[in-house]
This record gives sequence, structure tokens and C-alpha cells, in this order.
Amino acid sequence: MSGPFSVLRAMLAKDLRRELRSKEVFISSFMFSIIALCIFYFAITASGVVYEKMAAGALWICILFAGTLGLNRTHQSELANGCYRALIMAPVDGGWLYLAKTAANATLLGFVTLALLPLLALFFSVNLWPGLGYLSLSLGLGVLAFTAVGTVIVAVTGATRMKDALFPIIQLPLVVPVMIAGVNSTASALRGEPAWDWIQFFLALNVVFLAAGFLLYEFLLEE
Amino acid sequence: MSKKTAIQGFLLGAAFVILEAALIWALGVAPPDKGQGDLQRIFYFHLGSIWPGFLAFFYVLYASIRYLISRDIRWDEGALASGEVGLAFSTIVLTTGPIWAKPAWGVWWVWDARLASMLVLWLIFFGYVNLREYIDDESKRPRISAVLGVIGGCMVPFVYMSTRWFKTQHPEPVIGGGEKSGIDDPNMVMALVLALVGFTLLYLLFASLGRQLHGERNRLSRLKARLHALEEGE
Repeated sequence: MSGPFSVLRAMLAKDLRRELRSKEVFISSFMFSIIALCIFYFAITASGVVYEKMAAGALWICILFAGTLGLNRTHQSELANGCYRALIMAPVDGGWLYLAKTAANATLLGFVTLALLPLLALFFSVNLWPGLGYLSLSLGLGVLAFTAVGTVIVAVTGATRMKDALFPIIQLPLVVPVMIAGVNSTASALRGEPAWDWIQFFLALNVVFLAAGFLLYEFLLEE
Repeated sequence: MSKKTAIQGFLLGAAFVILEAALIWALGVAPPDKGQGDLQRIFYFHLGSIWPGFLAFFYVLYASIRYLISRDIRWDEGALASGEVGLAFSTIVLTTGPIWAKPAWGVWWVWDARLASMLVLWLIFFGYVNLREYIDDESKRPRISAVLGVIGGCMVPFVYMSTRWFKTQHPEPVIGGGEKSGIDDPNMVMALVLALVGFTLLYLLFASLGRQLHGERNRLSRLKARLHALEEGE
């Protein structure tokens, strides 16, 4: 029986190595986000909304949809060649497997978010420096909360007939609180102000769903 | 007559009588609201369905946890039945709301905290109820659904809190005539209590009937599987 930290290390190393070789998740999520940012421009300027004020909302829409694409992609790659079955058979507690998987998914989505920040500064002419600390806190906790829920749900919908189509339909309503807290805390951070109530909200969300996932993941691994 | 049938019969009778009384009180006895007039009367049935809706979603969480611990299929049947009935009640909430809102606010829908949270909850539990249709493996069905039931149930307070904070941080145009503005007349309170009790009894009846239906359906599929196995053996 391997310790929890070696599980974490092995899973992170595996997922990051796979991603470095294939670049599947990064390319699909990141390219999708750039396209989405362009589409927002054409979609909203006609209605008289000031595009520059949309920065926080646009960033979070990108995180949500890119994250959904990415989670789907990583789970699909687990299902290929029976990798998922091997994971199930690994002599590891399901809860630790879940935390390791969440950490790997959050790291990948974190990189995509990081790559989006310069684009945000470019397209929306926002200055990222004054609130950088708050911004990274809000984005970090938000991405973690999103993947904490998503890692469970992708395994839930993975057991169904319509995996890819069903995942966003089940996942997106569940992450509405993440979206609301994310947009509000990020908007405050971009103005250089802290948003401690939303940060606390994120902390509570992370604690509850990391704990729920830790306890529930075992049930999803049974064959 | 079994004990279950007797209880269901009692629930049906009690719900019928109390809902009739609620209808009489809400439409006839209770005075019209000072600000909104007769329009306010829909509120009794609107709030009356919110409460069993929340009760149903709470029961989905509870029964899903019980199923995962005990693996007793009856908890899964109960959770599914409760989820379906809760979804029906939330649909009533989401339809009676706009009917009231159009004359009162001038629009069918505003992104108020309560409206938004109800819609999100409806979407979450719509996913829960329909997920099992897409799971082919019958042995996996209750387990996977129970996991989603727990996650959905845990999200309820967060949906509620986030939409509420969102609202308080971004003040919207003042909405005329809060629902609480006119509930001081004893007959209004009576109409509300009757509607609440009546809808709760209706929830209990439908949840019990639904549970029985899912139980019978599971039994039928087990019998079919056994018959199939016997035929194969011959």
C-alpha cells in the first residue's frame, strides 16, 4: 500500500507527462478560450455593453467552458486502453486517488488560466499588477473548486451512455456558485480591492466538495 | 388492505380536504392585498410548493447517503421518487412565479436571487432525475445516481447563498410589494398554513406512490431477468 503522497506524485507526474507529450488539453482548452474571447466581442458590443468591463465575466466563462472541455478530455484518455480499470485496481484508497486526480486536473486548468491572463490584459486593457495577489487567490481557489466538483461529475457521467454530451449538462448547473463567486472576486481583484467574503465562500466550497469527493469517489470506482 | 395502502388513502383524503379548504381560504375568505389586490392570492400556492420542493431535495440528499451506506435499494427508490416529485413542485414554483411577476413587476422574469437559485436547483435536480436513463448497467444505476444526489444536495446551500450575496452586492431596481407586505390578516395566515400543509401531504402521497412504483418496476425487471435465466438454462 503506497502512501497518499506517492499517489499524488505519481498521478501528477503521469497526467502532466501525458499532457506535455500530447498537449491535447492545453491546445483544445486554450484555443477554445481565444475563440470565445473573440466571439464575446462581436456578440456583446452590438448590445452597447462596454467590452472592457466584461473582463472578469469573460475570463470565468472561458475557465468554465475550457475546464469542461479539459476534464472531459482527460477522462476520455483514462478510458482508452483500460487505463481507468488499472486505476481502479491500484492498491490505493479511492479518496486519495480522487485528491490526486483533482490536483492534476486543477494544475492543468491552472496553466490554461495563467496563459489567459496576458490575453485578458491585452484584449480588455486591464492592469493585472495592482491586485495580482487577490487575483491569484481568487483564480486559484476558483479553479480548485471547479475541478473538485468536476472530477466527481466526470466520473459520474463517464458511467453513462452519453458521456461527452451529458457532462456539461450535469456539471454546469452545479458550478453556478463557483461562477458567481469567481466573477465577483475577480472583478474586485481587477480593481485592486480584496473580496474576502467571496474568498471565504470559496474556502467553504472547497472544504465541502473536496471532503465530499474524498468520501464519494470510492463508490464510483466499483465495477 | 395493507398498511401502506391505508396510509396512502389517508394522505389522499387529507390532502384533498385541506387543499380544497386552502382554495376556499385563498380565493374567498382571505382579504385582497392592500397593494396588489387579488393578484397576491397566487402567493399561497407559490410558497406552498416551494416548501415541499425543498423538503424533497433534502430527502434526496438524505436517502442517497443512506443508500450508499446500506446499499438497500429501497433508499434509492425513495430518493428517485422524492427527486421527481420535488422537480414537479419546483416546476410549479417556476411557473406560478412569472404569472405573478408579469402584472406585478411588468416583466415575466428578473434575475432576482430567489428566482435564479430556484432555476439552478431545478437544473441540478433535472440532471439527477434523468441521469439514470443513460446508465445502461443496472447494477451501477443506483450507486452513480446516489453520488450525484449527494453532490447536488450539498450544493443547495451554496447556490442559495451565492445568489443572495450576488444580489446584495449589486442592488437592482426596487421591486414593488414584497410578498410579506400583506400577510398580517389571520385569514391570510390561515390560507397560507392550509396551502403549506396541503402541499406537504400531497408531496408525501406522491413520494410514497412513486417509491412504490419504482419498487414494482425494479421487482419486474428482476423477475424478467430470472425468467430469462431460466429460459437460457432449458
